[in-house]
Amino acid sequence: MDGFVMTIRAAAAQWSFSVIADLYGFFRRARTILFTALFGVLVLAAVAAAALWGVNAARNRTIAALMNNHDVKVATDSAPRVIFARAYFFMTHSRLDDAQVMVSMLDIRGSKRLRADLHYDMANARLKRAFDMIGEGKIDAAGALVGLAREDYRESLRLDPDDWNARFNFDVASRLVREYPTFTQTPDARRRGARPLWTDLPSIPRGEP
Amino acid sequence: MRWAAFGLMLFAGTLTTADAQVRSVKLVTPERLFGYFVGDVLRSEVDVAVDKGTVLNRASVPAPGDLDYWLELVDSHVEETAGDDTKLYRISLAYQNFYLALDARPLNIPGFTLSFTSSHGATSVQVPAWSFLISPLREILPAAKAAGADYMQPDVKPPYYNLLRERIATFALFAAALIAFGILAYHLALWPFGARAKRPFTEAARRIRKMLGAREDELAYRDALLALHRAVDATAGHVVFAEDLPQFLDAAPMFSRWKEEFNLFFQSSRQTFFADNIAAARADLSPDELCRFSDRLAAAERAAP
Repeated sequence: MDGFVMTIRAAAAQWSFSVIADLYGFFRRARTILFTALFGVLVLAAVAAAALWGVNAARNRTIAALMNNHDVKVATDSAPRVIFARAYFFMTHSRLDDAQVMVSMLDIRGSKRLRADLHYDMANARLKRAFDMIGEGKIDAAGALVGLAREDYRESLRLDPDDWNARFNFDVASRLVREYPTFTQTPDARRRGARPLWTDLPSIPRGEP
Repeated sequence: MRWAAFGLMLFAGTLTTADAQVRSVKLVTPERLFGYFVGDVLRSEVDVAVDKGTVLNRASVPAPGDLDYWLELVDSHVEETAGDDTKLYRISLAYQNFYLALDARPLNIPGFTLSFTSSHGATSVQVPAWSFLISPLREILPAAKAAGADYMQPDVKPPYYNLLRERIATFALFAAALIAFGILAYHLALWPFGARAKRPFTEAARRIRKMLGAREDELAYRDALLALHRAVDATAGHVVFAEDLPQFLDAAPMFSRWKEEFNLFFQSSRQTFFADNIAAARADLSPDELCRFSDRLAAAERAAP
């Protein structure tokens, strides 16, 4: 029995040694290819990293230009932070409708954090405009703007409930307009469910005799 | 979270059939029910234990959306755990409030009705309402300021892309590539390791290729033979003649596969240097063959441990 076990053990040792030896032998023969491949892969990775660096540096230059009040055109499929900067440029230059387009763009592709911040900025821009309008005596238009601003603050708080600045400014906006419980509202988009399969045709006969 | 006592045993009056299909209902609200501000999210859980075979009607669970002009249900999901003869439904709800508070006051989170179906018919269970205290965020009458914007918190400035990660990755990868090139160059005895002594055949193969590629004449062939001789000498550590070949191959077993070629090489070497008959030497071992032979020796040298 002992002899049998020892034979097995010796065979296992022999086998594992031969596997290791084979592996080592393979490594020795393949060294040239392995070292060349390693070098090639590392060079490619380094070039890719440098390219990404260049791309992001170019994006930062666009953002810097926008922050310095240069009206740089930005494609709607640009990087999220570039879109943010473009929207902020519109907000600070009293072009709220253009800014809203960019906000909607960012909603499609931006991160939660970025979207929360942009909705907050959009609400701030609207609220500031509303303050200006109140100063000019345009109370009704200001009321509509405050309503939109409150919606943006709410969206910002939905995305990031812990944003204390959004809470504060939501409070400021809310005190400008008295709010009442509404009885008829457009149905909530989240509750609407699937679209009906059949369209409602007004001329379907009711089957009366 | 705490067990709300009023949530217990509510089903007793609502059951319509003789045997209980719903065993217990527990409402778990946040431990602290005061000191909340506008925008806070409050989470509650409803645990319902039912008999096996009783199924919750999923449509009776509130769906996310507005509940009131100031209250939103932002998340609701149901977890189901099966026991031996019971089933536990855990309904997790998250409410977010947008209430403009001028003073601390209680706010009501509305209750709802859950419906269950089983082979005995339908049963419904009322989940009770609960309330919490909201606190104001600002004073009622702030000090007068020049412009409306002065009452507001500042904007978030557009963020830039942080280039640090790319910068580190680029430098690190280039450094790694440089090291990899160093290893490769050392292995192939390329510049700047060309002069190292341990790869005489690799060096010789490179020189022979260059010599024979540049010129076709007999002098080049002679130089090439000489270069290979030097490589053999350098590997052995002393001058090797034809009769020393067996000892050399014993000392350097990685070349023993090319015994035949070595014999040919020494034969043509003798023709060249002692008989001065380079034409005959080239017939024995053509320049192409010599070139290939030296390449193979170089490869064997590199593959050796």
